[in-house]
Amino acid sequence: MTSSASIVEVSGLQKRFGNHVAVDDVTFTVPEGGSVGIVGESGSGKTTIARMLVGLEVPTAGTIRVGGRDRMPHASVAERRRRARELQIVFQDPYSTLDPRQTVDSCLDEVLRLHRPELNRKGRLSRMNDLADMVGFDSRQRRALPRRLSGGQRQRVAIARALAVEPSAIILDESVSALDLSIQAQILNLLAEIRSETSIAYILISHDLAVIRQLTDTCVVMQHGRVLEVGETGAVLDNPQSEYTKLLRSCVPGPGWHPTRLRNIFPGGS
Amino acid sequence: MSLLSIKDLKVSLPVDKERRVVLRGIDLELEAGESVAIVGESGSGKSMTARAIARLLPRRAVVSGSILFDGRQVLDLKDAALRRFQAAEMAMIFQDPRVHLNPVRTIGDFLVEGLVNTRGSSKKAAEHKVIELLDEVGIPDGTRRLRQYPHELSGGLLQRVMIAAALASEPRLLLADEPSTALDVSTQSDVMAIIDDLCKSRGMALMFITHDLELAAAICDRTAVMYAGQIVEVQGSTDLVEHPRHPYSAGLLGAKPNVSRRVQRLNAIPGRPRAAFEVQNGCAFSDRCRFASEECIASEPTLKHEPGGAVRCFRADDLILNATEGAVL
Repeated sequence: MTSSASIVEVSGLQKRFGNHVAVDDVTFTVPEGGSVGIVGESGSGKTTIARMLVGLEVPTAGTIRVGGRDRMPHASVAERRRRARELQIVFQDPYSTLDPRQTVDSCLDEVLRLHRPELNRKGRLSRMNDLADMVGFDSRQRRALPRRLSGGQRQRVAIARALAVEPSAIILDESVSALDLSIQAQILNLLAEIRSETSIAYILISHDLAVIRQLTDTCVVMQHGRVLEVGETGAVLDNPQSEYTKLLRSCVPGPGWHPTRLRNIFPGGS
Repeated sequence: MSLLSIKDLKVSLPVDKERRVVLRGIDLELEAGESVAIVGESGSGKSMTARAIARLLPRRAVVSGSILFDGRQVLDLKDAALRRFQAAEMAMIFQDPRVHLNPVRTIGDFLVEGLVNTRGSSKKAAEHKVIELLDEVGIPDGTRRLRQYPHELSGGLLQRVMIAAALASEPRLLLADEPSTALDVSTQSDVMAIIDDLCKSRGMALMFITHDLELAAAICDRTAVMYAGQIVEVQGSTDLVEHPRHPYSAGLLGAKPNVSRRVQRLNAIPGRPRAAFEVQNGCAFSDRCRFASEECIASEPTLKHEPGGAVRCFRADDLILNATEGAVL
């Protein structure tokens, strides 16, 4: 894949915490407008990758290129602001990332003032209207504080806030995992619509293989900080190559499925 | 006689000086050794139902109706009788085991104490039994584990410790409230297999609370779907997944992404789940239901018994619902 067609290129990425290697030699690329899933269980290093991508952790080794530019640590304020316009992140629990005293509109307005200084008051308002429409908020909800919103609505605010910046890619770190099923479906549909309308790229981090299937084109399977398998999502899930991916796939409930005891798979247990 | 018989169970809780209804009349029977799943979204009342049975509701909760356990009225139990019921006849496991374990005491203290207190076993005999139980739940090196503290064990191992603790008193009913939801997929499968095996081999009745209809179908004989503090449908689990009778059950099945195929759009249910206290006149699901008629908006359907189950929907007999498409007429 050439660099002109990729929005994010990760190469040989490593992160150590003391003696513990959380992420080891991870390489993948995200094409412009593409959607890449990172699958793994707890401790696989998937969230550490997300945190390195947005600059919350400094890689021990390896490179991260976004929009063709290396992301060196210790960037200036102006550089960090520029980076925020390339890559945004939506976390699992939006409540902890929303200001409890800020209404939806005020939250979006602040982001627009910071990242879209060319817009005047009228321009910001029109952009806020578009964003609210996109995530399905009415005027009453736009004046509401986060505590008055449901979990699904808060996640919509977090998505709208990320979109406000018009980033090239959004990292979705277990962003739909904690939602009720009926709400999760609404958000997954919303994310698919946004991608088809805006050509934004997604990096979807999830332990849920069904969510990965629904929303991504390519997926990276990780265990203990290492990449086990990369490929077209449908192919990886229908015909997994590594034993671990096979195990994950066999643990998803469906018609005729029965849970199996791991003792039979890994003698001695965990 | 059923092991557990719930009739018209209603619960309300005090919130900000007013009363909020959380259960609006639950009817459910559970035979000895049978397994039933209660499936619903947040606020549907599924956990409250289990807590009402275990008598773990907040002190100021107002409860009416009847819960008979082996013919005895659970709601009237007091003092020693209540403690005996909670300690020896039923057991409950929760989503997050860490909340229920004292972080400064060892796994051994936690497990052995229960046996010494409720069964009057000697400490040595209790330890021996506990090591056997740990082996049964897939923890082979029990002697070492007994000396460990909760923070030294993974979530999956801790949940197995909780299952061992639940089994120690040899209860006849196990209430499992989302026991695998917080675990990794492979550990989830393991923990559910352990619960399934043990309930079957010991003839223990299981009430399994989950939000996942397919997981429910893999474990339980019957499934009850809850919405806004009521049961809207009960059926054999496989039948429910293949031929749901209530539009909400069909909606839940259609909304779930599928690991074996991608669809253009998921059949999302519009709006958000209603809480019991928000329900006005009419069917609680009517504002989100594609099939709602005037009757559905004007009056509330009752839970109508039919061969193989029960459904709370005026239109159940007009509709042929399809699990994969969500709902079709």
